[in-house]
Amino acid sequence: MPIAAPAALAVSAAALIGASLPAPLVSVSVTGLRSGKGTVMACLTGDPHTFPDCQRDPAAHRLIVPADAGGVVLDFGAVVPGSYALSLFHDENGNGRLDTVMLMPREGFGFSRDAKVRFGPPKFTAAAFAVEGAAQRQTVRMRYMF
Amino acid sequence: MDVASSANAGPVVLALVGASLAMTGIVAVRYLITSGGFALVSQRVRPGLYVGRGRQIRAEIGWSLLSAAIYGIPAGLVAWGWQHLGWTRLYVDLRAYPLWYAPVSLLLYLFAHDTWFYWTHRLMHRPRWFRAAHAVHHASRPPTAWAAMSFHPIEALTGAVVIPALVFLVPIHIAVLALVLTIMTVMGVTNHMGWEMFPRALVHSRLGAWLITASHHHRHHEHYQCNYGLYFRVWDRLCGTDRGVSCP
Repeated sequence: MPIAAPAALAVSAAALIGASLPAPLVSVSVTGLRSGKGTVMACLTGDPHTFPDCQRDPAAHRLIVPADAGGVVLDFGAVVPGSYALSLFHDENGNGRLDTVMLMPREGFGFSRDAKVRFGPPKFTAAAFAVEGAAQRQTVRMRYMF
Repeated sequence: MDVASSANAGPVVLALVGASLAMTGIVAVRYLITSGGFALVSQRVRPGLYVGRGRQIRAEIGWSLLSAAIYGIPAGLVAWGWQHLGWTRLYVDLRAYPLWYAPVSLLLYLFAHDTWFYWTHRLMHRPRWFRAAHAVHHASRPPTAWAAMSFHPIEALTGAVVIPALVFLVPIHIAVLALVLTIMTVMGVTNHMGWEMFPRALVHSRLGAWLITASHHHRHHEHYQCNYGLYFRVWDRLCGTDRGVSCP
């Protein structure tokens, strides 16, 4: 069939470069917020080098949503397939950054796959999840050091 | 990660050596800053207190830096195991346990360390152990702010295992642990520096009757066979080894 051949070619080429496949919808359910103060700032990146602070990744998906003690949902929309990690924090005082005291975070934080914080944030690989196929929903629990 | 698998053993051993060296450096720098800081304060508060003690102080610093390695190795191994393998019962999320548990864990750690110290310290004063190990610490007559970690390696080992063992047994928030280590460091230095920094109103209060500060520990260095405790006078009082406070 003359029409099917180019279509098949397009699909396999897309699989190779991973860029023009139907992009899955990614959303994240955030639980464990201790208050409804301020916002939740989230950053989804596929670049291990810019995780967890993905300011330097122009392709990162950033979201800011009002905090809600009952939990919030982050809707990243369509995301190009690949390996991603999510970092988020609860900007309770709304100053746009994660406040710290003696290098320790004073505001809540969370990572995809609930990757653990020890001496510093987790590595990309510990928080990475595959974005592929159908729509997907991650769940992240917020942690508060103080 | 599987530490035992031979394919990983090389890099893991290297990482463990690195962690031990790094922690030894941290402990040594912590000692130099804290002891150095309080030595400077001592010079201002009690001018001349350390005059003519250069030889003793050099020995104190030498033994203390050796102790830093003995403290640094187990601490480095445990820190690495926490970071990479999730060892220990350290926690980061304050609400992982009820809020009241944070101050309770602080007291648990201090009391456990105090208990271990009291009984190993009494052992160290048995003639054999004293000659083999503890004499190094008592060679400081009287001690200075530099004597905080001036221990023979055998004695340093008994002190070095306490916190690394406790973190496997008793859950503690990472910031509470930092507080435990700060108290340990500051009291270790100030109890030896030869003068009392806490107000008389505290030292001679009902609370002070149960707490160990320089006035209490100075008497241990004067009389040897009494006042063995670390933070609290509970064991000294229970065992009849408390002989009150001195006036350094």
